[in-house]
Amino acid sequence: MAFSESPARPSLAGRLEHGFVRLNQALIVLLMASMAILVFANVVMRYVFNQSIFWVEEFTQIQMIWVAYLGAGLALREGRHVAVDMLQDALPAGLRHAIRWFIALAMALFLLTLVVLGVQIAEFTWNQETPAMGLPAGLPYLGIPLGAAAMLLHLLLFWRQFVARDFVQVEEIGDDHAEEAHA
Amino acid sequence: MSAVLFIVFVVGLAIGVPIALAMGGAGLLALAIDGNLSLLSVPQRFFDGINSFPLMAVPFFILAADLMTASGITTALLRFAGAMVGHVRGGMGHVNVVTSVMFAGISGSALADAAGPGAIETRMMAKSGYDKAYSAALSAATSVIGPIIPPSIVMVIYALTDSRVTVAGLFLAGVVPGLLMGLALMAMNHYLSVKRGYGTVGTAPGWGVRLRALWRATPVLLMPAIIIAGILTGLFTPTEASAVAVFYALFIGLFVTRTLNARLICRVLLQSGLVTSAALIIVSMASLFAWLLTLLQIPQAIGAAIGGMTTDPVAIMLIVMVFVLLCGLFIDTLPAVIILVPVLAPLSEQFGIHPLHFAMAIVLNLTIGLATPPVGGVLFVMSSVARLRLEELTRAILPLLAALLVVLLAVVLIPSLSTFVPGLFGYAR
Amino acid sequence: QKTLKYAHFQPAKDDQPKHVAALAFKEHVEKATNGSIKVEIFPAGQFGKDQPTMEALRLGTLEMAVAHDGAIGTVHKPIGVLGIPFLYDNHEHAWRVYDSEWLKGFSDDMVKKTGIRALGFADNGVRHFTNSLRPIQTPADMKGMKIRIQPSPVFKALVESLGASASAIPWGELPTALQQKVVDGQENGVTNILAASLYQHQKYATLDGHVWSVHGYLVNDRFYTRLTDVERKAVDEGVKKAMAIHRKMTAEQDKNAKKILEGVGMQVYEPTAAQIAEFRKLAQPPVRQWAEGEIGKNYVDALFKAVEATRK
Ligand code: NA
Ligand code: NA
Repeated sequence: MAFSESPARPSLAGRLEHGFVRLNQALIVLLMASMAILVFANVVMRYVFNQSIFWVEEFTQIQMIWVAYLGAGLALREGRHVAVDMLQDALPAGLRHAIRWFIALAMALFLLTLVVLGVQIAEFTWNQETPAMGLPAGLPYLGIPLGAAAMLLHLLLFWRQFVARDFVQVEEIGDDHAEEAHA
Repeated sequence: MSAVLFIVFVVGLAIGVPIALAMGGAGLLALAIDGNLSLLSVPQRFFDGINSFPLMAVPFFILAADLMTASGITTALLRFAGAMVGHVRGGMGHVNVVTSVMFAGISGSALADAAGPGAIETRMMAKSGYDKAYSAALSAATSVIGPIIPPSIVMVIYALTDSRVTVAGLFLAGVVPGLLMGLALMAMNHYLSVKRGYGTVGTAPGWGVRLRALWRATPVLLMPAIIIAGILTGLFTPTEASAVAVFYALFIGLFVTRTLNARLICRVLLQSGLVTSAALIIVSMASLFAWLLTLLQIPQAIGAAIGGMTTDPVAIMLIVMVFVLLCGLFIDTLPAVIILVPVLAPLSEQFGIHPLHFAMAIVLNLTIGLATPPVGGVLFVMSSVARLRLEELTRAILPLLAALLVVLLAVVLIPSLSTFVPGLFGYAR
Repeated sequence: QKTLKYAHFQPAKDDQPKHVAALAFKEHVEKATNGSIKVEIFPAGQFGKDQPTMEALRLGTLEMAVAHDGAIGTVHKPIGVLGIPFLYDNHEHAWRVYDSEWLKGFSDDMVKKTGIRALGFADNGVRHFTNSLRPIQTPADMKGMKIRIQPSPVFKALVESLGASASAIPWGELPTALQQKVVDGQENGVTNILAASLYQHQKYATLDGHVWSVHGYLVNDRFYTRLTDVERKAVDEGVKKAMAIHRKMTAEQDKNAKKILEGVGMQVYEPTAAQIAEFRKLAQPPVRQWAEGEIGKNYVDALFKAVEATRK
């Protein structure tokens, strides 16, 4: 189950990692819920009160970008990023291990660069304002470096499992009802 | 710059770097080595690629489908399909197809179908004596109906890249081809079942049983109706329709099936969030890749090359289809749409091919590509879900792919299959 | 050889003012510099959407762009003063303002804040109200109407000052929203009304001309100042040529708005001077006040000074 995916190990490091995962998960849940509620509320507003909340579009768009980037690290743990494993599968274990290591390293470097560039673009655009809410235009951008940093941290903590392709197995939603269908 | 872009991407893809990061990394390296453009273009393009309100239909359709699934609604669909077609020869196979057609009405993605109902259908078929590889292959093939019958994530993204088609128009265009895919797969399933002696012929359940099954499936079947009717009558825009779908699914789960609770809703929000993330990261990073291609004037060159081969619209369409099919073998649907549509859409304008017809053919083509080796997301999911080797699954799916390609050919050659339904509602001028 | 990447947002067709102007610019500059500048045109938003395009201009990733006021506003808010309604008497008046000393003041300020220089402004079409309910002759007719706006507080203030309610809907979803009567009306220039076939679902047009949208001819200042004198002159002249075409083509459409919109089946009303004055009286003060508070009194005053000085 998603919320108990990394059982708290007794070690401090383990507990910290678990807390980090939980925090990240909570953030995604909040962002998704808020997006859905705001856009739906806007539809209702338009019919009931004959006017819409004009900042909803801009605000939820920012949240969507944050979901995309802040969810990427968790998606990595669950092996949700589509990749082509065919060549790896055809290789002997030693070579496969080496290639997985190389991929993890390349990804870490890429993410590190993205953190730096993302902070720079957020800084560069901070004085601009978003059209509807007048927020710093760098704020939506900030989701990218924060997400990349979180993903980098996930990758570092999850390195061994990532290399071994030992992804976190989550029960897909709806599986609990599957057996019922056999009846 | 173009050499770096392609080599890094292809090598990255081949050795198993996640597709999104292979594209982002290739773009970053190409820019760094070229040195003329600011590297800040990288985060900027990543941002620009997903900074769009219509794109919000993607997370919402994912969320709506997950909420429905969490409400245990797949069971109702399977039961209903079973009551209707379960008793004939190859019946479990037909159930698989019919369930996917219905599930397509609530889900916008093939992967969702493969991982959800697809997994269950495979188990059920295997239990009823079908060859396991065939069971998984049929689940894989039927799951690609998901993005053709509305709602559809890939259609939302297509409409973003080609301003001449609307989400609503494209949704409507998918109805007939989606149903045709179902029929073609049922026909092929019938043929194979007779030939291989799959499934036994039983007695048809009474109409009482069928009506009860229909009643239990009604909340699911109503969802696509609400989405489409809402868009067509002007109650809401497609993006808003997706948010309404979320709350409809929530309502069903809380008050009709009463299976949802706060804890489950949180799980669903999390899972949909992560699926959204994985999909949008691809869209985001692919847009850097597509942007660099534009700067290198490659789309213009490919467009001119294809346009220079012939002036016959049908021939153009066929060349485009072969090109897209080849790309679809190696690239995932979403990045393929983002990269290819800006290249190809101008051809439809130049040669007078109806934009909806053109869009439908490309979407269908790329979606079928999800179930083709070597790079086919649906195949990957099914092979991991059913614990089958990719080779076995590939061999078993070939006849089913042939059936889908026949539908594709029909859609390519007969424009009205795509434009008739949108035309009824004024979406195909 | 230098490459000048030039982005605009219109389709690459020869009936599109911004594209025809871009082609004229390319031809002039490449010829006048003997090929020392190569111009690459990226039409139809190929280079990116508005905000990223503006940021690319700031970064120097893009050398030139022709961008509408909304886009410019994403990096330089003071452009918003041009959204104050009912400023000009006619096209010529607007052009005199754009070509006056005001441009230099505005541009210098923008260079200082963003590194982007405005070489000139041309029209993006005069904006009018259309709707599906009734002919709008006076502001009273707008009472209670739902009007689509772009998500911008200026337009919200404008529409609400006229007694209607404002609904922010993305441009891409507008045709559907109108067809389905999610909103009753919208406001746009003739080009946009035609481009998205908005007339199919909007019976009534009122040629009130509330806002004169602009397109800025923008250049990355670092690129511009590093050009040789010959090259800079070529760019300046190229922009003049391009703007002349751009203004002429757009104004022609604006001036024939009645005929064009009637031709596609709309019922068109041209308000009298007195009715326009009524609109102005209601809409201008609140938006002006909004602009003074949000953008700055100095920017608003500078514009009104130019408007009055060039009024004939
Ligand atoms: Na679907
Ligand atoms: Na299926």
